[in-house]
Amino acid sequence: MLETKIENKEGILVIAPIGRLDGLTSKDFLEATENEITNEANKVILNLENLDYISSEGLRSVLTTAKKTKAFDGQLVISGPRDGVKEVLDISGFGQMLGVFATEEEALKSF
Amino acid sequence: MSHTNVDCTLTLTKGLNDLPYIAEQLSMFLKEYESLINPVNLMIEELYSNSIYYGSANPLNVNIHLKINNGMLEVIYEDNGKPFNPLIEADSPDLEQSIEDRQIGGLGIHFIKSMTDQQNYQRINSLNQLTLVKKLASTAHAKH
Repeated sequence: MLETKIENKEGILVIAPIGRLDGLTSKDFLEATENEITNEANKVILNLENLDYISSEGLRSVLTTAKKTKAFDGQLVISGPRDGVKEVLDISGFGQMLGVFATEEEALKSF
Repeated sequence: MSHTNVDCTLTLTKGLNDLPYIAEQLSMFLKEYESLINPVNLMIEELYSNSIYYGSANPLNVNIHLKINNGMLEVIYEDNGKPFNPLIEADSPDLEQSIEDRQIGGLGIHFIKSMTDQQNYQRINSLNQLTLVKKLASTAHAKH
């Protein structure tokens, strides 16, 4: 129910969860991403274009990932959330906390 | 097409493995109210996670009644866990904290309060019953 694609674009890690990020799948997301963030790879774009749904458990895994980038002196920003996911980011304050860009291109330019 | 009312029930007993079932059922029940599928799914997942992790019921039994009538959505959520009123007993999240200090606790109930217009808790015999009501915007109404 969740697939996570990870690409390195000019030194920036683009992480794209595809499907649903919830209480059942958030551990899969963490497993897929935990070894990717390092001292050298500390800038992350979380591309949410293909994320259908996120719950507070899903947000917990996003927060864990964001904290890891901070620990390596980097940053995690979000790009392309669909309406339903964007509403959850807004209500939770996560959108404001992390920064949301409409597209991956805009997010890439922000680094 | 005539205006469609919704009146259906979901019974959950399998813990987190029920999450795909919830999504599948809601996409059927709410197929004419597409914009409600994610918010209702979110409210149910948050309540169900609380029941699973903190309710101490063994075996856990959750019944959810979903109704749409006269432009109102009503979600009645019942579990057999220990008495717990999430509307007053859940932690309040601090939405303004920095990434380093941010926690997740209490977000579920914050979502529910933000996404509905009325919330009411009752303890009935051995059940917790939470009733949530949301007025539907005209764009969320079924097609006529």
